[in-house]
Order: sequence, then C-alpha cells, then structure tokens
Amino acid sequence: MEETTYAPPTVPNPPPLHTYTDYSSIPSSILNSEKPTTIVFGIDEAGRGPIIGPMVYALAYCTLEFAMEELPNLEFADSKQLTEPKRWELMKDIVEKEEIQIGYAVTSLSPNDISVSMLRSSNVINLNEQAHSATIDLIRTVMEKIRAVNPETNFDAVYIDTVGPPASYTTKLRKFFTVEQINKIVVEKKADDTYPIVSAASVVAKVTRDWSVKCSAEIIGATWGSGYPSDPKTKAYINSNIHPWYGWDENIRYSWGTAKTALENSNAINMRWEHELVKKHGFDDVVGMFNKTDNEITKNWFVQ
Amino acid sequence: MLEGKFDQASLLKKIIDSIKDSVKLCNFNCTEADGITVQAIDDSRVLLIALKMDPGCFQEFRCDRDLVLGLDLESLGKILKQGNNEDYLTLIAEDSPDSLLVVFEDKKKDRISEFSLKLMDIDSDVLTIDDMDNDCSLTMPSSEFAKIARDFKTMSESLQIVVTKESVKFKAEGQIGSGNVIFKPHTDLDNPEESIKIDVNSPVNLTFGAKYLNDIVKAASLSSTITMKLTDKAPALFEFKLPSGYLRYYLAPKFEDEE
Repeated sequence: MEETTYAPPTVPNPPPLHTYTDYSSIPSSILNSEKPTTIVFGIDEAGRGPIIGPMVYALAYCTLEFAMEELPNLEFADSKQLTEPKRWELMKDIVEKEEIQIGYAVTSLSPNDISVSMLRSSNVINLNEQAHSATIDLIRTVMEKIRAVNPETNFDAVYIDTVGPPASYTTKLRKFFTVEQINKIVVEKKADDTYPIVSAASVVAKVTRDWSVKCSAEIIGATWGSGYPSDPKTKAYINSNIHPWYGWDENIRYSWGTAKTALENSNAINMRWEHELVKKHGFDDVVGMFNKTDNEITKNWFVQ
Repeated sequence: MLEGKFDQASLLKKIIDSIKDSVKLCNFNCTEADGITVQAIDDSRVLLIALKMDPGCFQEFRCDRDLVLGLDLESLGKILKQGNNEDYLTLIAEDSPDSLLVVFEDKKKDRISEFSLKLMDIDSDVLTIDDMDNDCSLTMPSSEFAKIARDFKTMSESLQIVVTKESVKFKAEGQIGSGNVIFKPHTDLDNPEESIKIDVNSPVNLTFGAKYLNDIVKAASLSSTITMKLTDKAPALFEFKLPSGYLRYYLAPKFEDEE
C-alpha cells in the first residue's frame, strides 16, 4: 500500500469524521442504452473487525450482459488471488477505464457513528443492524438513480457477502425489496469468491477503507497499522495514546471491547454514568445512595 | 495480638452463615475498643452488610494492636463447620498475621481442635454511615418477617412494604396472583419479643428485591426480633441485635420504572 499513490475518489480529503456515501457516475452502457437494461448488484464490506477507522459498505453494479460476457474474463473473477497492489490497480480501472462498465456506491460508516449507535443508553443499534441498513439504503438509492435515467430498468439480482446467518438476512431484505423490484436476492458467505460483481464490490470497499485509514493516520501523525486489534502497531497505538479525559481521537471505535479494556488498564478517569448504575437491575447503588456527593461524575453533577 | 473467645461457636457460625451468600470476601477489622467490625457490599452493590461484634460478644477479648483480617467467608464457613455449636471458639491472630487460627474446645471432653486459615489482601473502602432520620421504624419478631420474606419470594420477585400509622402491610404481586399480610402494632407483656412496634414520622411505601430480603432473613436465628428503619429514597436498614453489637443490612429499594 505504501507504494500506491493512487487516491481513490471514494475518500474525500481529508476523510470525513461522519458517515457519508459516495456514488460513481452511471456507466455509459446503462446511461446511454436505447433499450431497457438489466442490472446486477454485488455488495461487500470492509473493516468490520478493526478498532480504528470506518466500516465500509460497497455496492458494485453492471448490466447483466457485462456480468455474463466481460466480467468473468477480468481479474475480478477470483478475489482470492487479488494481491494488495492488484486491488488498487483494479480500483483505478473501475474508476477510469471506459471498457470496465462497472458503477459503484460506497457508504463509509464513521467510527464515531458506529460507537454512538452502539453505546447510547437507549435504542442501541448493534453492528449487524447498522450494516443491514447501510446495505438497504445503498441498494435503494442506486436503484433510484438508475431508474431516474432509465425508467424501464430491470434489476435481476443482488449478491451479498455476509458474515452473519444468510437466511434471516435474506428474509429481512425481502421485506424491503419485492420480487418485482429485484428478481433474486442471494446472500452467501464468501460470495466474493463466487460472484465477480461481489469481488468488484470488495475491491471498492477494501481500497476505500485502507485509503481512509491511511489518510487519517497521516493527518494525526499516528502509526496505527491496519487498525485491527490483532495488529501489534494498532495495539501499541491504542494502549499508549490515551488521554485520561478524552480517550482517543474520533477514528477509534469506543464501543469495541479492546477500547474498554485499554481504558480500564490505563490512567483514564473512571466514569460512571448514573443511568448505567440505575437502569440495569432496577436497584440503586447502595453506597451511592449513602454518599450522593461522590467525587465521580454523575449526570446530576452536570444538571446542577 | 488478637484473641477472641466465644462462649459458643454457634454465634459466629450463624453470623457467617447469614452473610456468606451475599459476600464472598471481606475484612474483619479488629480493635480493642470495638471488637470485630465488618463492612461489605454484595457484588450487585444493592446490599451493604455492617457487622459489629463488640468485646461483649466474647467471653474473653484482647486486641493489642488494630488488625485487618482479609477473609474468604466460604473458607471460614468450612472451618467453622468442624466444631460443635456448644464448643468454645477462639480466634487468634499475630500482630502482622498471614493466617487466622481458629481453635475449638469441647467443654466436656478434653478435645481441642485447631485450624489455620490463610488470610488475603482485600481492597475495600469503609463507608461511614451516620445515623439517619427515618420516615419510620418497625420492630417485629424476626421469625414472622423471615416467613413472609420466604413465602412471598415464591410468588414474586419483589416485596412491597407499606407502613402507615395504624399498620404495616407486606405485599407481593406475581404472575399467579397477589397476596398481602397486615400487622397492627401490639404489645405482648408476657413475651415482649412477640410485640410489634411501629413508629411513623411519615408513611412509606417501598419495594425491595425478594432475593435480597431472603438473604437478609438468614440472620433471623441470631435474634428474636428484627428492626427495620425505612425512609423514602434511601437504603432501608434491617437490624438484628447481637448479645453485644449488631448485624445490620442496608438494602437499596427497587426504584419505580419510569418507562
């Protein structure tokens, strides 16, 4: 990655700290088609596990014709074989080469939004639900965009790579998209190995995430590696850059267990939120009831 | 050096049995003036236990220097099972001890059994609990209260205590139905411990976790009466008097769900 100088257009400079979605222009084979086209979608994600950086969902699409005749001959066909430099090369091809008739849409869920959704006191949205709604929104908006230029478009299939159980996810998606809207919904584990269009989506997702993490690191001046908790560089960054009051910068997913452990093992100030003490088991903390003027921070402290 | 001799091993046995299900580890703080005091909080931080065994609890008591003995109550319970209820029981510890010596002496036979229990370092802050103004105070036979706590737990997860000037009402509402027991104050001159005494500054209506009340009434065998001091939005005090000293439980009431 270090040698790559190609900056993918899916990451604004500087990378936003909020969640955003970026769309490619619609490929000319769809835009300029005289007759109604048939479209296939592929969806993949990157950066589900890391503690640093966004979680990226990418949707890649092309005409059924292109998917059947051209795509199998391109290097997307076998995503297992894709090396890091190859992935960047393919990303550049998708963006720049006229003969690669693939469009894409990318949603980058910011670490801050992920953490806030997972950590708030009520209406917690877990990672799976966040992933599902990002996916559903991607499909819906891309369908609208294509319909806007070509109202007669048919959507043949959406292929989705999943880490969760495929059956329940398929059922959930069917509530949003009828058979008339999308003919087939295929949710599979390792779909990127089977369907080249998913492989293309995985290229877009991975490159977007990697570039975003790299740019953020440069802005902060951090060496935090890949962002996965298992990466020694990431581990070192997490454990040695804790501000006792603020924790870290906004690139960190505070809702990760690793973050919690790191805070607990550091000199970070221990905060106990009143609602956490109270709501969980229906009882107040007996010591807290004796000693209302605790030196720990409570919500009351702010209100007064 | 600490040397505390109980006339009956049963006293300490009962005390440890009453608290070991709520608290696993605790510090015995030993001083010449106050005897042995313990303060501990259960893991859920809803129940606080305060134990005070004054020197008067002991047949003989000396404590040359203040000592803190970190004890695993389960282990202490195992050792206490080794002696008979009527035995003399002596607790012995050196000035900077790494273990506690527990000695049983049979009063009739010349049998002496000695056990040594390893001590632990236990982190704990001692909370100063001032005497609070209470909304009401209630004294009743501990066996009556124990029966209510046990019976109502089979019906509901919580037990409501409603005190008015005229009566105290224990209420439980469960899936199968509901129940309540009402007591009116009365004085039994022949058996004073059977009396029910209610002092009310202002009426209270509090709900407690039935599980915690069940843990508390394990101490019912220590004293024939129990005194409850209840105040709105404050921990309730359940007190069992010892021959000299007390075993107190402070229990956080259930809060009303606003949602």
